[in-house]
Amino acid sequence: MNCPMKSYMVKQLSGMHTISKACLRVFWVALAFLPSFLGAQTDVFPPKPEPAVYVHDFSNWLDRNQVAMLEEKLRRYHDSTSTQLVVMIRPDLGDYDKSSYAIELGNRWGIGKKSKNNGVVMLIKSEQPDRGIFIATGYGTEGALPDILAGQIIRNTMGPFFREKKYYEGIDAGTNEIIKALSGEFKNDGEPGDAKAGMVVLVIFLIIFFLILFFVFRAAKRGARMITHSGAGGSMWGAGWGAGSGWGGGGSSGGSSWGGGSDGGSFGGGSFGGGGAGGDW
Amino acid sequence: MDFRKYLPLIMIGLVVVLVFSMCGSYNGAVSKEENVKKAWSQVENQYQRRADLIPNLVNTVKGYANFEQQTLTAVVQARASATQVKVDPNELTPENIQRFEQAQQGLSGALGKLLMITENYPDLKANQSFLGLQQQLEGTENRISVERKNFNEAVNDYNSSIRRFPTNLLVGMFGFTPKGYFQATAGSDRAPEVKF
Repeated sequence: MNCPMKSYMVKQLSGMHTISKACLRVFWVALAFLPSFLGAQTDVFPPKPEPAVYVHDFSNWLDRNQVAMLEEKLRRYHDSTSTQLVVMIRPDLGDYDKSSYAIELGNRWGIGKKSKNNGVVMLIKSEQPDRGIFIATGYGTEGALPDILAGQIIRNTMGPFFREKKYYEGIDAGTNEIIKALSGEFKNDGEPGDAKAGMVVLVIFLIIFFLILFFVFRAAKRGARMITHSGAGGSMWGAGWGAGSGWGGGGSSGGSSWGGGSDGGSFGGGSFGGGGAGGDW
Repeated sequence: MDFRKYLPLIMIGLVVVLVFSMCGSYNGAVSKEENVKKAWSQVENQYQRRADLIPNLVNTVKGYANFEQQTLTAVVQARASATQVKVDPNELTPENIQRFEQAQQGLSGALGKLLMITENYPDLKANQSFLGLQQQLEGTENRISVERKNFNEAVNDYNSSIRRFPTNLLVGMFGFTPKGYFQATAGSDRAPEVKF
């Protein structure tokens, strides 16, 4: 007797099921396309490595040993001077030319310390067309490594090695020249001033936070005897506001703690103003 | 009953919140405007740097016999007219930016022509000081394009902030006016493609 009823319900349910299935399919398709929409712009820029990685070889020019040796050298260089020198080898740069890619990469990753802008990008485009090298200098390194010197390093130091296909030797010699040019310019002082300021701000905010909490609770206690409702409302409002100010302090101190990295560090917000020079080999 | 009793309090609260948020957005707009001015001074610096390189370049090139006098005087004239166009940082209107850009583009064009002609002078291309000047000029063009981009970003930040509520209520009162952008016309964004 309830058989047709049952089958009807099953039909209804299965209908809903197919609809939801279709919805789900659309969702999955949309999800599959999402990265391509989002990634269309940033495709040629790899995501910022955290912690910092200094050697990036997308053309397989270097073997694993050579990458490790270069990485070790640049990491140690960062630890002693806080200067960040990134080597990027790529077969293609999308719509970018060498100079704008190198500068954009430096700015996106924030290579160099924020307060010193002591970052350098050595970009090598390994394939034609427009094959070549571009050394981009951050604002802080433009003085010690002027465009003319960067051009000379490419022409006179790296070029001869690259023409003989000795890529590792060329990059090694080139980075050595850059390190030499910047020697004595920066030292890793861990930016103690910033960290201290951040701590002071945090402590002040915490004190204010607890003071507010104290007064609010006392007021709430007193108020509770007279008007229960408004007292409770007041304490809610006070707590919310106090929590907001505490969060602000945390944010500022978090930003400053980046400066004190020692194990290779991370890219810390250095910016590039278009300095540097390029050339072919 | 209760609600009516608290109405004045709620009204006062609302007014206080609005005033606070207006203060905040006014301060935000002021600091964004300062950012725009700072970015503008960087743009001007880099154009100035290019203008400063030109007398040296002209002098180096002049030394080579029978170099086209016409091209050289065109560059010198374009430089003179480009450096005359100054924009007051308090009046970065779209019209002023466009005027500035046109003058600089005239110089870019003349300079590009000069450097193209140097291709025909092998001695000149072997001259060390000329090579150095070329490199500096190239670097300056890169810097100009970066600073233009930074300027456009600062302007974008500022312009969109003054259109938002509640800052837009303050626009008339305190004279926040939209600022002009650099237009990316005919490759001017990347500076003239100079082939050495």
